[in-house]
Amino acid sequence: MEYEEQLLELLDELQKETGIRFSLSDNANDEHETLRKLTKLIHRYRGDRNKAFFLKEFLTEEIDDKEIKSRAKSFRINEEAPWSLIYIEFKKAYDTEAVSVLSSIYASGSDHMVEEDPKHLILLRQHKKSVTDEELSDIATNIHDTLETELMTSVKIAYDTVSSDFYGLQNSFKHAKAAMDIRNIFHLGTDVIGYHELGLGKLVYSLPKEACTEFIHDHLGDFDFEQIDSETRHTINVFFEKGLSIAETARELFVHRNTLVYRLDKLEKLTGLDIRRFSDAVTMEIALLMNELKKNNTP
Amino acid sequence: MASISLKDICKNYPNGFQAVKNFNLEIQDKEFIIFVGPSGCGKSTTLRMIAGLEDISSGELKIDGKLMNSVEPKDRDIAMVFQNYALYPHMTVFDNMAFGLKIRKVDKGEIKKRVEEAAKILDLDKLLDRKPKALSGGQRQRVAMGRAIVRNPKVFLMDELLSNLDAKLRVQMRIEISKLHDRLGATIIYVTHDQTEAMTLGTRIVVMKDGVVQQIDSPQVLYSQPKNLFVAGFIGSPQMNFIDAKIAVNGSDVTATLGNSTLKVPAAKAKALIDGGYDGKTVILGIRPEDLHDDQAFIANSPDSVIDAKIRVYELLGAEVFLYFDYAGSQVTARVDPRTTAKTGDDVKFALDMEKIHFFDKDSEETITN
Repeated sequence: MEYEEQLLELLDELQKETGIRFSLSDNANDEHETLRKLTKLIHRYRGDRNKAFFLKEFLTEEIDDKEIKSRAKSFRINEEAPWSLIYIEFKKAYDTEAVSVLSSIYASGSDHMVEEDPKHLILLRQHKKSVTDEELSDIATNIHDTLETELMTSVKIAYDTVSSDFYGLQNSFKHAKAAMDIRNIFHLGTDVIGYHELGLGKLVYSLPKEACTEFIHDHLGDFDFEQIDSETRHTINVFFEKGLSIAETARELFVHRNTLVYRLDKLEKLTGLDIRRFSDAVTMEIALLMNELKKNNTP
Repeated sequence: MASISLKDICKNYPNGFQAVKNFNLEIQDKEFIIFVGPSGCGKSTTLRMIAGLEDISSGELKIDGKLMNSVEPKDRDIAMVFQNYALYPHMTVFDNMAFGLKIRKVDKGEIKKRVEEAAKILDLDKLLDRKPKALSGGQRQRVAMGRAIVRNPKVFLMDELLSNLDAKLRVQMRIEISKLHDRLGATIIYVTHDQTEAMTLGTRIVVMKDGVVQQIDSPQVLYSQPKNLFVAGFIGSPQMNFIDAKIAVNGSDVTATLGNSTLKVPAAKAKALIDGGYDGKTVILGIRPEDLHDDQAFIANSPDSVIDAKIRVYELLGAEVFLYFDYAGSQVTARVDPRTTAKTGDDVKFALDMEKIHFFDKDSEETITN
């Protein structure tokens, strides 16, 4: 877009916000600087009026540190208290009922709700003292169950570990969003997930797809993952969860030890990997995650 | 209230994982149905598909004969109650129960009527002005149920409702839920991983494993006639004992050899083993702990079903004693009378109640005799 067009758009927007028509004269700034300052002016005006708008700009890092500090002070935000961030994804666009329910449970004076887009709400909670991951998981699960019960709508929740101060929330936001993305690829059966619970999925998610293709080819050749049926996949998952223990896996799956051994033998014949051996188990887990990442269409 | 029909319901995730496979069930009006099974068996996923919180990959869900697959969850006339009930801390019990109706803009008079009715059913009528922090754990749980009741739904779905409660409160709430079912005359589907909860609450139980329904029956039938090894082991506590047994057929007589003992199989079960062609084959013999007897009178009357054991652990539970021993490569538990003289380290004779034994195919794990 040309400079003149952008300038006019920003001046129109400023007029909408303030009701005053501005024009430029004796402008000592260059074009880029002019547009930046006008944008800042619009944001500042909106932000001065609306704490939620400021919090959204803060989380998405649209304003600089100096500006954040000054506005956090003007909104009397406790910068030094521990804070947590809970990222809520609705299956369909949320409505005012969702906002009402959330406000009624949590968003008192020191908690804040930010509307990211029609399907995502962010809850920022200020704590009196630091909370453990387990406590945070309980809070997130409570929010999930309450929203689903009251609204009868499907909700997924991602959260990060508690931040020691307000400024750490920018990082928490990035982590919670990443956790939601990773959940949507690797943990589809999990409705509430913490960034710290992503395990190898977090690592694999950061890899380019070419590297995944190469790894799978190096270790499994042209193996077709469709050959691993649902039952075998479940067996593998439980076997990994139970620390490669045959006895505990058989107990968890309610199958005889010999049935489990038969399934593992069958998998070895199919893939060449004996997941009773630690190194093969690691290779299998990584390859399965990489395969899921490859199937996912996100860039 | 409502009848529910699930026909060939499946849930497939994009990564190929099949959480639920061909689930078929007809639920009658006012039934109390339990979905039970180990973690990851698909019970909660099925419940969420009924609620509309998960999409159904294939199959048909009908409520009162109406196809529901693409009906919005809000419009299914269903209420869900979860284990993690978050009561609104600054609201009274009345407002907590009324909240869902208020946000749906139900008339004030109607809200008052419904909340008072629900409070009466739940014995909360004297607590309506209290805040959640002034309530006990059980009372809070009842308020959570009250929030569902005031909606007057056709169906109640309850997911692991009592899992967060301590053992004593859990027993108390089980009784409350049973009473509630009687008072409301409601259709209830209740999900649990706890077989005791399933056995005490349900009129029918659906046992699931790996996304597949294993058996649907009343608690009594599930306990006495399990269809396979999984159901036999999952239902009942302590669980059924399983011992490998070699079958020998001689005319119409059949014997089962377990370790050093050869036991005579009763006629009806013998016929099933003969008809199934199990002569000379090894099968799995199942026997519940209470069907192993150490009293002299029973042993004297059952000379063809006696085994010798050395007691490894003696456990007194007050009204009963558990005796643990190893037999033919299996760990066995016997539930006996507390007047038993058996102690840890003793050599003890046990007689098996052969009318109560079960036989399972070693490969398919399906029942041979039920």
